[in-house]
Amino acid sequence: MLGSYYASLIHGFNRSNRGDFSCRLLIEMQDKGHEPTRNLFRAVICRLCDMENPEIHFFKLLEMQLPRHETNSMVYNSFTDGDGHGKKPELAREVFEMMQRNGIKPNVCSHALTLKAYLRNERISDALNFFKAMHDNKMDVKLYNSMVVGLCGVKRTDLALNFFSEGNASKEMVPSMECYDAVVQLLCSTKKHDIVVNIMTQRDASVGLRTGNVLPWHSLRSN
Amino acid sequence: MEGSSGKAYSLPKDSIEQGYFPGKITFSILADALCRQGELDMMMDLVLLALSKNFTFSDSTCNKFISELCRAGRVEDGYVMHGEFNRRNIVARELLRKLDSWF
Repeated sequence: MLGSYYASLIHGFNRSNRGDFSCRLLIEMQDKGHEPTRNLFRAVICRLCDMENPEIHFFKLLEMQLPRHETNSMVYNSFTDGDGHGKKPELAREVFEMMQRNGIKPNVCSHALTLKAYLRNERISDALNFFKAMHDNKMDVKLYNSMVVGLCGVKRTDLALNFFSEGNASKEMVPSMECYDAVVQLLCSTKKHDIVVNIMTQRDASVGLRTGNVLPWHSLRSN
Repeated sequence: MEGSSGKAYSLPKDSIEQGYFPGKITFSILADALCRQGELDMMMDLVLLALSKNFTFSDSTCNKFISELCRAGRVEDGYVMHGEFNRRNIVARELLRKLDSWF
C-alpha cells in the first residue's frame, strides 16, 4: 500500500525541526488509512513541544484527533504521554483535566501517564501531590509501580525506597518485577549493596531478567 | 548490477525517453539496486522522467524510494516525490472512476 514511508518522512522532518510538516503528514497519513504507532505520535508531539507557542499547535492537533477515534481516552492518553516525553508536564496535566471536563473518566493509564510526565521531568512535589490525590480516591497497583519506577528513574533513592517498603508492607500493593528491577538497579548504581541483599532475601519469587543481570555485574565490578 | 549502475541507468532512461517502460518488475529490481548503491540522483532522474511519460510504479518501489531518500537525509526530496506520487495516484483514480462510469 502506498504510504508506508510516512514514518520516514515524519522522522526526517522532526530531525530538521519542521514540526509543522510532521503534523501535516501525520494527519494526511491518517486520512489515507494508515494508523500511526504510539512512538510516531509521541515523536510528533515532542517536536510540537519544542516549537514556538507549543500550546497552540498542540491543542490544534488534539482537536483534530478527537473526532477520529471512538475511544477518546486513548487519544488523550497519547497526548499526555507525548507531553511527558516532550518535557511539558503542565500540558500533560492540562490534557488530564480537559479529559474530565469533556466528560471522559480517566482510566488507570491516564493517571499513570500524568504521574510519569511529572516524574520524568523531575517535578517530584507535583508528582507526590498528584499521587496523593489519586490515592485518596482509590489506590491502584499500576500507579504505585509507576511511582516507584519513576522515582528510581530520577534517582530519588530515599523516596523510592519509602514507597517500595510501604508497598512491601501492605498486602494489596505488591511491587511488580519492573519495580524490583528499577530499585535494585538504582541501589547497585549508588553502591547500597547491603540494602539490595536485604531486599533480595525478603523476596521469595524469582528475580527479573534485568535484576538477574544487574546483580552479578555489580558484584563483579565491586570485586 | 555490480559496477555497472551507469549502464543499468542509461538503458532504461533511453527506453523511457523513447516511450517504452521497462515494466514494473524490472523497474523495481533497478530501483532496488540504485537505492542499495546510494545512486539516489539517478533514481530520481528516472522516476521523474517516467512520471512525465505517465508511467506508474508499484507501491513498494515508491515506498522504498522515499524511505531511502529520508534515510539519506534528503527529506525535502522525499516530500516532493511523495507529492508527485500522490498527484499521479489521484489522477489515476480519477481516470478509473471515469472509466467505471462509462461502462
